[in-house]
Amino acid sequence: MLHIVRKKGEAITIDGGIMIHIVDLEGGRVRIGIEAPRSIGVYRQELYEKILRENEQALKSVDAIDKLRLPEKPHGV
Amino acid sequence: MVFETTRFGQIEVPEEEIIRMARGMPGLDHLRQFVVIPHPVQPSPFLWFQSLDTPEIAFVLISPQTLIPSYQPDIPDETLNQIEVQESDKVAVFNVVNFTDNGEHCFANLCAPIVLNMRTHAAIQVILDEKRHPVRHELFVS
Repeated sequence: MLHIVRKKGEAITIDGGIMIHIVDLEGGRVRIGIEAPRSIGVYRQELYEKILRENEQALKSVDAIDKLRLPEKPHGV
Repeated sequence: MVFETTRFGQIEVPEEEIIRMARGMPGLDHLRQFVVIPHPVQPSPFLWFQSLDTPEIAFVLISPQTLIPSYQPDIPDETLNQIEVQESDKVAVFNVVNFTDNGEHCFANLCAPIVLNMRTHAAIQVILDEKRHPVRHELFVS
């Protein structure tokens, strides 16, 4: 993995089209600004992985549709 | 066009009904063509989202409009741009369903809906704010 040291106010450019700005540093946390084309999805890693696992799990579980006894009432949000 | 599927056998899908993912679903980046198929046992709230690239890949979806009327997610403009939504276009939203093994519970992923442009049939799975839209919303709680 490439490691680059940056200071507050500095930036990194990736492939000419993506800019990562180091906006602020405080108490072990870093605020990052991201400029990227709209076609690029930018997400927190942990949420992206959660959705990825949920998709995988959903695919594995589809056969249970035949066992499901329907319904009761839908559960409103 | 004719496609092989594991669950439904050989299916014929008119070109205009093929759904093209503007960006691959998380974990399934290589799968870009799908079709929506009603569940064969009716009445049913479920739809199938069958991959046309990989025969064994098929998700179960719900259309939240009637099942979860309070679910009115704000789809970001950049997402709508990615599926080329114009002012007059109708957009459909679907949620991926996840079952427990015994079929006793099923959950809809409200955090990452599939958004479909009904005119162009371009679609995308967008990730929304998890605090407002849970990944696992239980359906049919008795």
